[in-house]
Amino acid sequence: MRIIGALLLAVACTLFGLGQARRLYFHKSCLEGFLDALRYMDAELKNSSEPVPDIFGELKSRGDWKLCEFFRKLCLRMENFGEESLADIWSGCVMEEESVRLTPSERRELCRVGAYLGKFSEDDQSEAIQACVSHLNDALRELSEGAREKAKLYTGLGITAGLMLATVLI
Amino acid sequence: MQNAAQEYLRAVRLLPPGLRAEFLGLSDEVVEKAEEIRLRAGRAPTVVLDGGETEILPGHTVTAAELQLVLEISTRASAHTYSDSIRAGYVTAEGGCRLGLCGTAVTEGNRISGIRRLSSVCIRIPREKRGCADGVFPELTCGGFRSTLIVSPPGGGKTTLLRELVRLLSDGGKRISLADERCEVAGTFEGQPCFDVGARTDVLTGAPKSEGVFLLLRAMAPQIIAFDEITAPADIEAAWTASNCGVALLATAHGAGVRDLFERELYKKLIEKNIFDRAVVIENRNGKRLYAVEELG
Repeated sequence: MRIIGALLLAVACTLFGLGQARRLYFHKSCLEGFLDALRYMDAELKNSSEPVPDIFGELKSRGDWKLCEFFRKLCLRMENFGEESLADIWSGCVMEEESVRLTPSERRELCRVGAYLGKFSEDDQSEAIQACVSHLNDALRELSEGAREKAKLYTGLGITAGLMLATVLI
Repeated sequence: MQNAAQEYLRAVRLLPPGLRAEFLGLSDEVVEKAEEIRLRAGRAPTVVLDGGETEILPGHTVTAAELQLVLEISTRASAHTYSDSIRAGYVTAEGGCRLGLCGTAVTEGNRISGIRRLSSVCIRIPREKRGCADGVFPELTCGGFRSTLIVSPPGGGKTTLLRELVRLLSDGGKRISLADERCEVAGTFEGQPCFDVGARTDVLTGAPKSEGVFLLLRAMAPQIIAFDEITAPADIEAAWTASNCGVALLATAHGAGVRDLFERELYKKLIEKNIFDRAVVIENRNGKRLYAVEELG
C-alpha cells in the first residue's frame, strides 16, 4: 500500500512539473499567436483598408490557428456592436478570455490597441499596433530566452520532488 | 406609418444605447415626421419636424463621447474606410442615413484632412415617399420625358422626389443610370439599395458626379441619367456633355425657385446652356410640400 501511495505521489509531482512546463510553452505560443494576428491586422489595414470587423472574421477562420477560439468569441461579441463600443468589446475579450495565457501587463498592452482600432486613420492604427507588437516581442524574447531551461527545471523539479517524497514515504 | 417607422428606426439605430432607448420612446408624430436628428455636445438633442427644429429630451445632455460612438456605429467601427467622406464632412451609413459632421478640422496645408473632436452630428432620415410624384409625373412624361431639374432649398425634399421619379420612370420602362455619389438616393449599403429605385436602374455609388456621369455614359448606355445636387462647375460640364449625347437628365439643385437660379452664377450657366427643359419647384407651405412644373428656356 505504501509503495502504491509513494508511486502515486511521484507521478503527481512529475505531472505537476510537466504541467508547469507546458503552461510556459502555451504562454509563448499565445504571444506568438497575438503577434501574428497583430501583424496581419496591420497589413490588412495598410494594404487594403479592410473594415475592422472583417479582419476579425478573417482571423477567426484561419484553420488550425491557436487563437481561433479567441477570435470566434470576439466575432460573437461583435454581434453586440452598437450596444458596446469596439474598444469595450476588444478589451472585454482580451481581459476575460481564458483560452489564452498572457500576463496582466501583456493583456493591458493589447487593450490599448483596442482604443485605436477603427477610430483613426490607417497610419494611426498601425502606429498603435506596432507599439503593441514591440512590447509583445520583448516579452516573447524574454520568455524564449529562459523557456527551455525553465521547462527542464520544472520537469526535473517535479520528478525529483516526487522521487524524494516517495523515498521518504517508503 | 410602418415605412416611416422603419426609416426612423434605421436612423435611431445609429445612436448609442442610452440615447437610442429615449428616441424609441418618442411620440408617433416624431417617428413619422422627423427629418433630421441633431446632436450637439453639451446640449439636448433636437429633431427637425416640418422644417423647424424642436428640442426633445430636455433632460439629456449629449456628450462628446456619445457623438464619437455615433460615428463609430455609423462606420461599423472602421472610420478609416470612410476617410474621404469624413474629410468632406459627412458619412453615409446603412439605409442611406447621411450624417453631417462638425468638430475640429485637421488641416494639411489649406486642405481639410479630417475631423476630430466632434461637436455636432446631424443625422438625416431619408424618407421613401411613394406617391409624392403622382401630381407631377404625368406632366413630366407627357410627350416623352425631357431633361428635368428639381429645385428647392436645402431640406426641401429634392432627394425624396428624385428617388420617386427615378422609380416611376424606371418601372415605366426607361433604362436609368443613377450617379449616387453619397449613397443617399438609393441608400446603397454593401452593394444593395435600401430604397426601391426601380427595376431598370443601375446605381453607381461613391464616384464624383462629374466622373460618374461619364462612366455611366460609357458603361451602361442609359436613356436617362439621374444625379443629386449640382454644386460645382464640373457637374454642369458633365451634364452638358451627357445632354449632347442624347441622354435625358434628371437632377436636383439648391434654390428657392427658377428665378433664384438665374441670379446665381453657377446655375445661370446651367440655364443658359439649355441643358434642362423643365424644372420642378418644391415649395414648403405650412409643412406641406407643393410641386410645380415650369418650362425652362
